[in-house]
Amino acid sequence: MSFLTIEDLKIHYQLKNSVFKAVDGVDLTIKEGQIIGIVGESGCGKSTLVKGIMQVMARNGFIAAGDIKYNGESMIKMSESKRRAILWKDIAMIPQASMDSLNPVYRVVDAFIEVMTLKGGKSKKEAIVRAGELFELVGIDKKRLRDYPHQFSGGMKQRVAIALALCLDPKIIIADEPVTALDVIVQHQVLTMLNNLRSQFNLTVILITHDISVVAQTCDELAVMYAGKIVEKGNIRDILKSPRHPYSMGLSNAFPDLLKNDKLISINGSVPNLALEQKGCRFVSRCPFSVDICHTHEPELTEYEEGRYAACHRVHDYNELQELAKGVSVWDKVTS
Amino acid sequence: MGQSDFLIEVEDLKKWFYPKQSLIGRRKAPLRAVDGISFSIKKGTSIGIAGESGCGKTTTGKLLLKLYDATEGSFKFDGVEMNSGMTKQELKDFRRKAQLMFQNPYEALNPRYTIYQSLQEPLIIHKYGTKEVRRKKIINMLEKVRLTPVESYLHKFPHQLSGGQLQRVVLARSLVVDPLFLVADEPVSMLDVSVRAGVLNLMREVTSTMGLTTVYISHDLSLIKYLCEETVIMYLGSIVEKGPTDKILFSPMHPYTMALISAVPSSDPDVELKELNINNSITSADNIPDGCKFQDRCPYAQEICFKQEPLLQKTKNDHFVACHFSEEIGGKQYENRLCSTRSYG
Ligand SMILES: Nc1ncnc2c1ncn2[C@@H]1O[C@H](COP(=O)(O)OP(=O)(O)O)[C@@H](O)[C@H]1O
Ligand SMILES: Nc1ncnc2c1ncn2[C@@H]1O[C@H](COP(=O)(O)OP(=O)(O)O)[C@@H](O)[C@H]1O
Ligand SMILES: [Mg+2]
Ligand SMILES: [Mg+2]
Repeated sequence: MSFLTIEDLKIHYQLKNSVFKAVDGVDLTIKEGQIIGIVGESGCGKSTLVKGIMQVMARNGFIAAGDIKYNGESMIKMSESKRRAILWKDIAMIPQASMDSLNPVYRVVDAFIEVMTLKGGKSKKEAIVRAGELFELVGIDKKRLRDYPHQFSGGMKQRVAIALALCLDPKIIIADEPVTALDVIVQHQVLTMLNNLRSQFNLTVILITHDISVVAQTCDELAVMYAGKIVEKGNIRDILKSPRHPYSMGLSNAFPDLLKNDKLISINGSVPNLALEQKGCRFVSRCPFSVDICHTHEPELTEYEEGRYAACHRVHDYNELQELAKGVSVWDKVTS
Repeated sequence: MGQSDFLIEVEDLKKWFYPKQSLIGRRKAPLRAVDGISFSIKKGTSIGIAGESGCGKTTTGKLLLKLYDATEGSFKFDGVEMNSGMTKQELKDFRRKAQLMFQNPYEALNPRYTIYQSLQEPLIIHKYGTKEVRRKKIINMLEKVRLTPVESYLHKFPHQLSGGQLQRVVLARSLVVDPLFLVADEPVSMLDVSVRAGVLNLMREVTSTMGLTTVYISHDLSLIKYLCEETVIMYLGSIVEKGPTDKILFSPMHPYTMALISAVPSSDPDVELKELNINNSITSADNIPDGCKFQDRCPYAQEICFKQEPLLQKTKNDHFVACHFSEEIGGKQYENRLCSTRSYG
């Protein structure tokens, strides 16, 4: 069952003389109990998208179009009080760099008490008990509840952030780059924990990252974002084993992997300026496979096989393109 | 060049940091950031130093560049002892021959200098040639790191370049004075994924054409595999395993190395997220117990591990391991990560 859907969502930032279209028409269906990954390089709009869902955008940010539906009901049109009852209780976020967002002058337990008494209607006593349970769940001794944030290592702070997001028993957790900047062992522990939470509590997880190898072993579904749009989405295995969009093909060339000996290839060039009017495909200036139509018409995200979507005019040439994409010289044609 | 096959030879090198002592109360123990490490690097080869943050990688890099004075131990550069009796001129000479590549390109470059000025500065410091010779050198170096056409970059300022381009400038700046030795500390961790590959390829190519000896510091083993012939695994200031990279990655003998490798995520969706055979850590560099430093996290620890520190010893596998039980644990316990595949529910 799909219970969170994002429909043609546009989130823009008002600049002095222009509008920056950070998220420019995103469609996404999130199914219960799944882990869905959203990948893309920095600046493609991942954080803007999740802040939009949580309605915690920067002051100059606004939802320009589209809708976010929870159990079929528009979260944009619903009353403020109803929305507040859903956000944090049903849908919680682990913000990017959340490790540093804990207030340094308060004991960690105070953050838990605040969320649970103000947003969850619990008493202080209940909150402390629950916080202790959550600490154990994420593998930290509950004696440390009364410590200050600086007394925790980076990996522990990230686990505290996860525990905090779980405070009100949400159904969905949105984790924005939860393992970026963590050591591999801690990264592994955090990913394992998200995996376990999903199987224990049927939790739905939206996992945002710039690193394909982070999603490969944890997610069921994947959406690849580029310049404010989703360029490919579907089952994770399908996409990683047989990418249909040239950007996805490029991403899988770009990562070192212990199991591979291939030469790494970068995607040269840069992202278009989203404050300007876009003409044609957003990836065209970096795409080694572009043809005339790519410069003039923006490709739509279309379902060309059951459950598989891509936004590319040459989606049906994928066999040929996948072969070509393995060649270094192909990508060198586009100069940085 | 000296007679030795090795550019770098390090013997029982230590760097301890001594905390300020308070007037009352117990004396605080020193923080043993680097705690007696030995290794050598053959001329023209590259070595990777890996391990979790805080294990002493950066401190080791700084010791190798003489940015820190060692607490103890020997460090020979091209056969010459560096930790005692160096003249000012020798040190200055060393400063040219040994270069650091910064992690963060935004901090490495002066924002008010043009690219030309940034590259010219080290040449002036080391009194390199005339203005015209320097200019040629700079242009040649920018070509080597593929910032072409060079003319379009010379007079740009850092803020006008992308992260990937800036990191090429940083590389060019370290190499413009013709060093013999380069330490690159997490060289691409600040870069966007799509441009990392380009910088890594460039480093691989340029260091090999220039015949440089290189140390790459990274917590990312897949990156070290891509760049380095030899690998050193550090844990709390000590080397727990070292040897040829392939041997380390595909037949590790130390339980810590095994955990580190199993934790590296793969971009292959058919590889399962493995369980790590490691406990949570309680030891820190200013609180080192007797015996093996890894004892509290090790699933195989026995009595001797709490009493006696294991020494780095050569294994039948041709690499070096510091573990009392490496022969039993290595090979037997380590399953190739290729074997376990993910099941889709
Ligand atoms: N408050 C803001 N005002 C203007 N532009 C912004 C603002 N916040 C983010 N942006 C821009 O929007 C784009 C998307 O940012 P973000 O959503 O943070 O990307 P990601 O999380 O994928 O790195 C970037 O180009 C960023 O510079
Ligand atoms: N200048 C310093 N003074 C005191 N302690 C330091 C200093 N530099 C590093 N340390 C400590 O030494 C240990 C090793 O640090 P570092 O070499 O930076 O590790 P890594 O690069 O592997 O993360 C850490 O415990 C760190 O806190
Ligand atoms: Mg972000
Ligand atoms: Mg470091």
